[in-house]
Amino acid sequence: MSAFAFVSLSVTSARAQGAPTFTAYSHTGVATPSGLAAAGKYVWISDWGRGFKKRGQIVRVDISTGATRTVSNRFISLPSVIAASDRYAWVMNKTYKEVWSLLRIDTTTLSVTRVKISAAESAGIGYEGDPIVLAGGYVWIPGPQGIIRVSTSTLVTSTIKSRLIAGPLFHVVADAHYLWMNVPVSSNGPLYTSWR
Amino acid sequence: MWVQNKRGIQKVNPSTGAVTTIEVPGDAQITIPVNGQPAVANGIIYFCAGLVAQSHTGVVGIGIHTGIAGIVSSPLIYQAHFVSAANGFAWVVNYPVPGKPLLVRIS
Repeated sequence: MSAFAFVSLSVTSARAQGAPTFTAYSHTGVATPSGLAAAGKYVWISDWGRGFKKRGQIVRVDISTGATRTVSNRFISLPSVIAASDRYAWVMNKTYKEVWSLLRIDTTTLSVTRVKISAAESAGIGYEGDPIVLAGGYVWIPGPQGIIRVSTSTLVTSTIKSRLIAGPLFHVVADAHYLWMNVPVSSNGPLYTSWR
Repeated sequence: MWVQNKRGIQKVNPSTGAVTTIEVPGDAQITIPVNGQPAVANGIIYFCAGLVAQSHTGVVGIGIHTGIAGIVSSPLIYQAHFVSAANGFAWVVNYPVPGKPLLVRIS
């Protein structure tokens, strides 16, 4: 039986573009989704599970067949935001003791490698919703006073700080040349500006 | 560069600093981003947003070239949590049935 359901509808606004087609990929086995990334042949979903009844996991969905593979590993506890390439999925993960790490998952073998993030570099940051970025051979992770950079080849971690970054970064995006981020311009106010 | 803020979606030219504001449907509560980053597929920016009148979250799409925004509507899109994109498709994880998260492809 097909794992897909096809529904074709128009966008609500008559002014909006096109008439999209919606395809449901059911039976992913995900209980509490906490991150999503698409790259190459796969979509990756991180899943917090169901407390002690079902451990956290990361699910790989083949976009052609809908087939799913579950990544379960001793390093995976509460996985969240994902950045993915054709070769690896990079997933932020925290333990129940709020210790963060970056997990690298091989797209083919699903083997998991853990990159430790020091408590000082991740203090006060919640990566459940904030993005990490894959660009220029690095994974970029917003930190409390700068941006953490993890080499995708050596897995060496470093933190870039600047006097322009006076507090936790909000959103981070990348283009071909630069990383762009929202940073607080005042520790006393809610003003944010883009910085490259 | 596209910036999501209280004024709507703003298109910023990093070279000149020129800013163009695109209004989004009044029902879309974009000042309270739901989760994760927007995604781009086939010339459309997708992001999750609270839909005030409908008391749930959904997906808003904006045509990059048209500058027109609309709510992406389908029975399969309800309580949208995350959106991503690759290979011309957008992907949404949401809850059209309570307690049963569903992965949906938009093409």
